[in-house]
Amino acid sequence: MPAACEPGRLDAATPTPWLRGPLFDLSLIGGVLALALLLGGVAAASPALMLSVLYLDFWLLAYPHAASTYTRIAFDRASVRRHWFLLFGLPPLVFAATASVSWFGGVLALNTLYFYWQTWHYTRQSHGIARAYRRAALPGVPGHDRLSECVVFGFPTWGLLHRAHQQQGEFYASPMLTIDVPGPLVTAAGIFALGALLLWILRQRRPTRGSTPGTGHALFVLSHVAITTISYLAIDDITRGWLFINIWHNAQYLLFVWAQNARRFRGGIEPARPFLSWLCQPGQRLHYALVCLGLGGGFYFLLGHAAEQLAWSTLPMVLICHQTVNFHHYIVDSVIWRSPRGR
Amino acid sequence: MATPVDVNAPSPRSESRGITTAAMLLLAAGVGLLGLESCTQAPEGKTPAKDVKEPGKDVKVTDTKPTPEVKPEVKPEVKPTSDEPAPPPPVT
Repeated sequence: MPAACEPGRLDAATPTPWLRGPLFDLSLIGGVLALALLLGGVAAASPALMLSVLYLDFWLLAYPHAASTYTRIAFDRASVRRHWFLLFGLPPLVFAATASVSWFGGVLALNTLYFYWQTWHYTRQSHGIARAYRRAALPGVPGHDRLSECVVFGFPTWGLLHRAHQQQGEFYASPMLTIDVPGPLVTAAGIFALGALLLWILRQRRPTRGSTPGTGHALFVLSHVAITTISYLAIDDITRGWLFINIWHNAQYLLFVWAQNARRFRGGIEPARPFLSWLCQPGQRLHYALVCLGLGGGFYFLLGHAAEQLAWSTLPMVLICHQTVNFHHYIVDSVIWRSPRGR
Repeated sequence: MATPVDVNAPSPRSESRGITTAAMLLLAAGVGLLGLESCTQAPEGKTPAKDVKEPGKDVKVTDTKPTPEVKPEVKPEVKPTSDEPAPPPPVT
């Protein structure tokens, strides 16, 4: 979600270091990080529990996370009309492209594309949330916070180069293509990321009036640095490392989208969108979670069974179908969180 | 709802100190990882290859007597681990 910035726009006159409030924001930042570290740590420590953690992550976080995207584009008639192409035109195109990648490049190409695209997607989400915090804290201040952006993009870049240099050749029990990156380049990327972090710390120690974002922004950027360092650098195995950041990303997205929806309908139930506006009221959190859980779980259950029926000897249909949903989600996210029409 | 707070006002010292400490710890961890990574790299940037001895070299011959024929040990048949469920495809 590149430019998720409603807080700053809606409350332009009231600067706040939080997106919603200390309790919610500390859950979004600290709670989600703790959850990712706990579950990821369990999977990293015990290979026997890896699959259990994976299932827990997928059914409780990843599938509802994918479903929650549709609260932004498909839960009311006006949104469906506005986003009809994303909903009905784009999926077959993404499916055709994904199947083509698999046809020409095999699982290797599909797996490689997934690994790099998901890194980009996760990083863009961090960038979007960091910008939302900045806009909330410094309403009306134009431009970009280049130093924070160097930190937010610098660590994943270092991590990716480190993974490439490792040449593990396999991700998620499938082959993956990695470019043989020379060691000095990885070191240079590390020096750049750490240098940016050092400058960022120095700036935090001497905040300047009207240009240094608040506490929420600082905590969020640090949580991004922490999870990226653990996922891509500290954990040796690429798949176990990925699980940390996957859990973090999924849980964070669920909370963030809910907060945006709650803010969108803070005026109460809208007659034009009675169901969605009711569902997004703060008092309906449980219903909101159950709807996302039910929709996500139901959709992926049906998708898995349908893909198995379509078993085709020349193409891994289950993988293609799941990656189609992933890639479609990435594209939709990049559109709806950037365009003002997405709100 | 977000509580309006003047973010331009200086944040509490303990809060600022906590953030700085956390950031410094992350920086130290990052420097440690970078150092570790640099140490494991060979001059040309590759992970140093393990010391592989040439076959036949450095092998001391202590006994020229032909060793008695050892029958290959019959190992119990290992069943393929097809019962293990495959992980679901990665999501998001």
